[in-house]
Amino acid sequence: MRKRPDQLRFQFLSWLFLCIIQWPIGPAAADVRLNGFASIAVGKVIEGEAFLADFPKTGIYDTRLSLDPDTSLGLQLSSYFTSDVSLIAQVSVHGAEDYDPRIDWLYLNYYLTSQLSIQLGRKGLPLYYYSDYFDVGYAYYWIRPPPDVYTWQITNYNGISVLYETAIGQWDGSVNLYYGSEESEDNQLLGLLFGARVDETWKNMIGIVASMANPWLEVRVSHMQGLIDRTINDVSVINEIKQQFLGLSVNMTIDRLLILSEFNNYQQPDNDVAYDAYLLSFGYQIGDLTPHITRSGFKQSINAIGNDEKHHTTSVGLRWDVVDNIAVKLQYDKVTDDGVVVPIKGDSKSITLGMDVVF
Amino acid sequence: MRFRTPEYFVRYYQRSVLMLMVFTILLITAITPCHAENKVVLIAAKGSGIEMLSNRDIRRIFLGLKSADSGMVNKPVINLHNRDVYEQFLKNVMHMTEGAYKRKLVKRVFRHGTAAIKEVDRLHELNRHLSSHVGDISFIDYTELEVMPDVEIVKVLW
Repeated sequence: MRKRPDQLRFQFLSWLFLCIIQWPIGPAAADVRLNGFASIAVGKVIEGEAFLADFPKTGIYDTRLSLDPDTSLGLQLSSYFTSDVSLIAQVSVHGAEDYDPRIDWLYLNYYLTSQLSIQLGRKGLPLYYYSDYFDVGYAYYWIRPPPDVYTWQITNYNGISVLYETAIGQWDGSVNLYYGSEESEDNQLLGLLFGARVDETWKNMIGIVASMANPWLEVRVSHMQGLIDRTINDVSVINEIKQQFLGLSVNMTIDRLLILSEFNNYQQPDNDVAYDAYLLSFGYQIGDLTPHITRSGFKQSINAIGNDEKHHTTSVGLRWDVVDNIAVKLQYDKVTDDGVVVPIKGDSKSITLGMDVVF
Repeated sequence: MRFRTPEYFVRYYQRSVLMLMVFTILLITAITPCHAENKVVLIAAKGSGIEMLSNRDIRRIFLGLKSADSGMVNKPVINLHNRDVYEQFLKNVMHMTEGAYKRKLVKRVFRHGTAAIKEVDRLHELNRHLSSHVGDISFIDYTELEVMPDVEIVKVLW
């Protein structure tokens, strides 16, 4: 049976990674650490027809109980050749992608100083606040980050980044600069939206993420610009169109009260595409329980061809930290889809029960 | 010789007994804060060469970042032997709750590929780990140092 190019690429990269982590440096082999995460969730739409819970992987719930849309397993291998040089790889499988393994990260990290490091290879594209650990459900209280905000079709890039981390008084600060590109063949999200095979390339991406955090307040700003190429059924429809992303997150912890927010603006100025997305969420910690409520939305500015994607979601949920590394969650989502020319999946009400583990 | 009833003793010694009770209460209240404000120290293996670290740098290290103050510091170790000391450490040094700290570490592991911070819940294991991993640091109640023969104090945290 002939293997698909992405399967061959995965096998090659896996082989390369295994060779590198076993490569002896000096008298001793590299120090290899393993971390992992798993999320198992079951849910269904209780009113309406379908709920697009995960845009990038097109995880969709319908009226039958389903385990696939939000179920994930990931393994992260960190191989330390010296205290300053390491190789990081993360492989994950997702129910929404038929459990085909994919490489999220494969990069070399080098500390130039205690505060400045450089990364070379494949990483997650850090557009949004939860981009880097979008699949690590344990790290947040929802079943998944609000889908209205996380509507990206490209989630990774291959390139170079520089990270500077410092502390000023009670504040921790970081600045991350990155440059790279990513090709996505037969992109899942665009394929769903266009109903055809879509190949998309984001290239010459240059971005900056700056964050400042103290014990109760965290502010994060993200900006990226680059070029897009897109073909639909092998016909070029977009060629080197400029895109810009701007994001702001402000998160607060006031005693037991958690206030999370995120606001994003995306534009293709030469292609008449612009949208805004937001989330505002409140959580309250009562011992091991964290009830929460969230409102999120997405609104595209109607353009010349009438594209009018517009939807918002109200979510209510409960996180229970059962033990140190296991959380159980229950969530109800009510989606209102106001898109006429570009509807997503229509109005829906759904319920999901999940468990997140880190190890 | 007159025989004295128990009531006599009670009446006679009433004031003394009251004074004794007040003194005892004062003694207890005086001792209690000493327990609450126990001395907690930052430790490393003997001969590690780690000198004074600022609290800001200790916070950085226990968040998984590299030390900015000393090139001798390797990795942090979380001491879970005494939960009270651990919770006080999170409050006084990390300025966050246990849940917030755990989530912060998980985010860092999966955001930057940082190795998870080692946790130890037995003192002899902590002693053995620090002595075999020179440069690693941890925190401990001062009174527990007597069962940690291979470590030295880097800093008194509080």
